Amino acid sequence: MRCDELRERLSLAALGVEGCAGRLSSPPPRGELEPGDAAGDELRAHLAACSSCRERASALEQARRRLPDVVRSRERPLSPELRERILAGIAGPAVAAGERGGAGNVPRARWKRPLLAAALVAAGASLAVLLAPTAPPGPQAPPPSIDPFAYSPAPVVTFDPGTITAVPVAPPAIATVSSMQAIEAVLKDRTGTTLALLEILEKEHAITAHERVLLYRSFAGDAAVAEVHSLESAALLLEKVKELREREPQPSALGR
Amino acid sequence: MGVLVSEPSTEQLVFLAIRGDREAFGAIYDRLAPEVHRFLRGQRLDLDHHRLEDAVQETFLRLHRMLSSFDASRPLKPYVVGIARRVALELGRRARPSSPAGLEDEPSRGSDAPEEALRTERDRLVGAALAALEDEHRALVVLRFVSELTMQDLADALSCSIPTARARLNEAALRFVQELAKRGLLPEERSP
Repeated sequence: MRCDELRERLSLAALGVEGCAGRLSSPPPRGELEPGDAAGDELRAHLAACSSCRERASALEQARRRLPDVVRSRERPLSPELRERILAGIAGPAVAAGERGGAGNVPRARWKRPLLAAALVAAGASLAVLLAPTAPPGPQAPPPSIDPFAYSPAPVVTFDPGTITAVPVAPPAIATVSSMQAIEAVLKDRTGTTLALLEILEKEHAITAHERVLLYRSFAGDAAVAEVHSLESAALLLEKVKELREREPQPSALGR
Repeated sequence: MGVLVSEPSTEQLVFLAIRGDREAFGAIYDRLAPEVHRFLRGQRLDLDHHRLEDAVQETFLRLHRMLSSFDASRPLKPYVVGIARRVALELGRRARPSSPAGLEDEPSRGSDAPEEALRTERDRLVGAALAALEDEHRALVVLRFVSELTMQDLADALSCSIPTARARLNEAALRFVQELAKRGLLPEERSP
């Protein structure tokens, strides 16, 4: 086989990326299995016969080995004050993302704010439509006075190994400002977005624990959902809620 | 004879920290701050020490806010470096690093010994190749080769499947190879 046909695989193998199947000489990074396979044998056979590729593989392995030291050589120890600053900034129990105002010092880019605000208004409207309870037949009571700027405390949701307890609340008629702020805060971070959104929806839109578990299961194997931007995740999430509610009644044990 | 007191597991610390135990969160910090620091240093070679500490701080404040959503049966390290990655990418969007050019221009600080000088020069060029990568690619290279995440951990950090993580890492690694080649760190390609 020609060098140029193997170059990409050789590079990845030398760096230890390609599943380590084609690993050449050095041990794989921690935790990787090293299955023997024909592809690796093919690479090694080529290397045995080709000094040019051997040199290239050796240079790549050397670069990879040096990389941690290159980074470490630029490190200075973290100051003890940093630890104190962080601990001072987290007084109180940890809460789901968004329930507390951002203590972060990495503000969102300014150009994004109007777009995000518009997107949030749209998302809020969708939330209200999808999650608002159906009005019962008969004479209608006057609508309750809702202060959109009021903060309504979230229900208590406790978690212990093996036990999930959700204290029910009545679903709000509209998405409140507090929930919008909460979702906005979550949008700042893609990591854990789906879970955090589930927390918020559970607390502020009366998604039951049962629905949450079903939703989480449906998302767990879906990498695309975790990867897309959280607004799309939220939209998918709401679609799922709608489907679930149409499909099956809520079990009383976990009902709201 | 002393009493053997076992250290609390990360899962226990997370459980306590969620309930407001600051010392438990401090212990999480002690365990993971060096990893977060190293990742951020690799990701942002251009940042001065104070800004780097700000990024570490932001990472841990976000971790605290998100802790109640964390599945404590999973390893915490990929989760935390995943947050650090987001922080670093946001920093990168706000200000492009001056590092690629800066690192290229940085004078070698090697000793007089030829071998040592050669190694120092090679390290400088490896650092420059890393800095020249796009932020996302650099994050993947650092997570894998500096933070030494397994493919499973990498997938957790990126919130994606292992095949997706592997495909993205392959792309980043090949870009890194190109940058190494541009700096003369790989032998010249010969005609087949």
